[in-house]
Amino acid sequence: MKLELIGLNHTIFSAEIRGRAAINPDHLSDVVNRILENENVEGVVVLSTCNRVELYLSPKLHSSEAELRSLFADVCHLTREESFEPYIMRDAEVTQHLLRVASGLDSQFLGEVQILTQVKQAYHTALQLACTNSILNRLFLQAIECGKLVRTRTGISQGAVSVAYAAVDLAERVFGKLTDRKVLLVGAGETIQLASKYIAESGATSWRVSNRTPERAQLLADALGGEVAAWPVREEDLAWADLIVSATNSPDVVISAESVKHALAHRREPVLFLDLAVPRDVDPALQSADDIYVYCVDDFREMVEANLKLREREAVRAAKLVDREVEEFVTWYRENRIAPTIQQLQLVLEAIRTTEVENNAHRFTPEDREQMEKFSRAMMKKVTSLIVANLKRASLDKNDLSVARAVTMAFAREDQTSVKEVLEKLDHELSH
Amino acid sequence: MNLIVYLLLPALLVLVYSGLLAMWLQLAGRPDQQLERRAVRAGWAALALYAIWMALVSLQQRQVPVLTVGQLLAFLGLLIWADQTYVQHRIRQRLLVVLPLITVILLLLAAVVVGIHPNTHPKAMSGPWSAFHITLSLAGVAMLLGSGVFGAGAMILHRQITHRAFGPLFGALPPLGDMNRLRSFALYVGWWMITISLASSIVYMIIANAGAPIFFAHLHVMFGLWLVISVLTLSEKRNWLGQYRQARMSVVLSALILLMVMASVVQMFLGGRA
Repeated sequence: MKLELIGLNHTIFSAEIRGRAAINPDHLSDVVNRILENENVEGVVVLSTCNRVELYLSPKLHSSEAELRSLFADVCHLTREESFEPYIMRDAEVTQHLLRVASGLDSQFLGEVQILTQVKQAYHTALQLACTNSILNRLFLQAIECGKLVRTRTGISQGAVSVAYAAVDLAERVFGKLTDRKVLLVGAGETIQLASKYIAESGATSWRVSNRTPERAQLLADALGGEVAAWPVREEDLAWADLIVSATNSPDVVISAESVKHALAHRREPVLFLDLAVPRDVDPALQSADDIYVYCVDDFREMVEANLKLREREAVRAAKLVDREVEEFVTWYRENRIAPTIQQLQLVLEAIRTTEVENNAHRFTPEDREQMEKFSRAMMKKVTSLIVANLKRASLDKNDLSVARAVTMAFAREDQTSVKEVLEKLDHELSH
Repeated sequence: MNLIVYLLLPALLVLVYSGLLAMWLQLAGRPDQQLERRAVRAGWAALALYAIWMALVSLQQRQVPVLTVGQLLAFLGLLIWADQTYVQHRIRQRLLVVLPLITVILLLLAAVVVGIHPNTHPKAMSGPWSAFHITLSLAGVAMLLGSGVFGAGAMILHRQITHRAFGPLFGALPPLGDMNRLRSFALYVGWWMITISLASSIVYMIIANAGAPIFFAHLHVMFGLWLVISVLTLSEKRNWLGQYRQARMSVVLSALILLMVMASVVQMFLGGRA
């Protein structure tokens, strides 16, 4: 197999170096052209995200490690010291790696979904730049399929793995869709803004914002299409809301258990408190009851850890699926290596058959000629099948290309120039 | 033909539904969207098979399948599974499906054990009125049992949320809000069905039998049951208890309803008929 990979990711470089190494989409075409200037390289796909930069190469012959490092350092602006860090993989290892990447098994957050979109994007860009070959095409299509398969067949991407997402996930577990839910935001800082963004994405449209600084509350309320509520939080606003999200910098409790008790005395609908502040905004004396749910940051951390554990368990199943897909790719590749030999064999045998039938046609009646045609076709088919079966056995099961070479030589005709090309390719593989 | 309709087909259905249960139990343990899609499709196929069997029984005896206790149990199983299949179509619920599936299998097994073949055709059980009354009652009971299932699901998820238990169960159940909405919907529809069924039986008694009671002993049980359901439905409508307590009441009352219906059906068929 002729595949090479050189790359870096979050495990070996800091965000700062990764940021410098990332390939700007505007410069991608130049980078690809520079790589393809090397005649040994038949195809390239560049995967550049915030967590990884990887070059997938399909060379005629394997390059040396030094050549690859020099090329990568040049493309990614790495210093000489840094250029020794990136990982290099070859052949089946490359397949395994890409399939794991697309499946989210190699991500910073196990089971991350975005990476599959990024792999797809990298491949489509490569197609637009016409810098792929049949091996890279098949490899990336298989990786994309594998990524989808892993996400549908396992729970690798299930459950939130960040505190803000976990908070919204919990709100959705309690209410279902948040479309008709009334949301009271207490505070207007970064945490509240992030949480409100996720809640808005989940469909909430009815908002009130209560903040110590009314101007900031107004800004956030305007952005969400809601209204400003009074500060400190009134019982009336607590009674109005289904979902209360709080994240202020206040050292004291902002929502007391007493005020909640008064506010919710006649309420029968569920209400959820998401306290994202440290120290807590919601009085710790307020406990979850029949239709009241109170969650703080520590609970969400627990939730994230539980989700990560679940994902780790699912990763074992995902890895098995990836291994199966890698095996499929390797089989395809091995079959692909002997495809030109088979094509050559079929061409030659068919040419011999046609010539012999034509030369002897005058000896037979039209009815007999038809029979002869059928008979000769059947015979050639059997001969071809036998040779192809043995070829595949040698190539697929024993990874032995010498039989393919012998068959190509045995059925070569002097007037065929394509044989030379086929032999050259086989020799490359054999030398490898 | 009798052997096929009254023994082989129900036995086949028990096998089919057991297979379906195995699929959902596997899914309850681990998520697999592909297998889930297959299980949902298999659920529709199982429903179609069940409906065909019930239609064959009806054709064979020229009467809807309400002639024996076994037939009633089997019919109830069909209605429960029809409800469940519809709900499955509306919301994703990897775990909740297990409960109705077990109920359906138990009902089918009970039907086979009690006997599905009608040795006699009770005169009072034939005719369109009887079919309408019993079918509607059973559909109402199926809805109320469904309400109990959603109540149980809501209680389980409530416990998971309040105890911060974020295991597989937490992710496998549908959202609390959805379960409460479905519970409430099933309760309303069930109440309407039971109410119409009961009202129609009273009208029938007055018109067709000149006021003479047909199943008096059975009727007062049904009327008592209707009162209980009505109180629960009113409480749901007015939201007197809050969602969690209402869910708890749904579970308790569904169990009670099932017991009362079973008792009244058994009483009716084992000599309690007035």
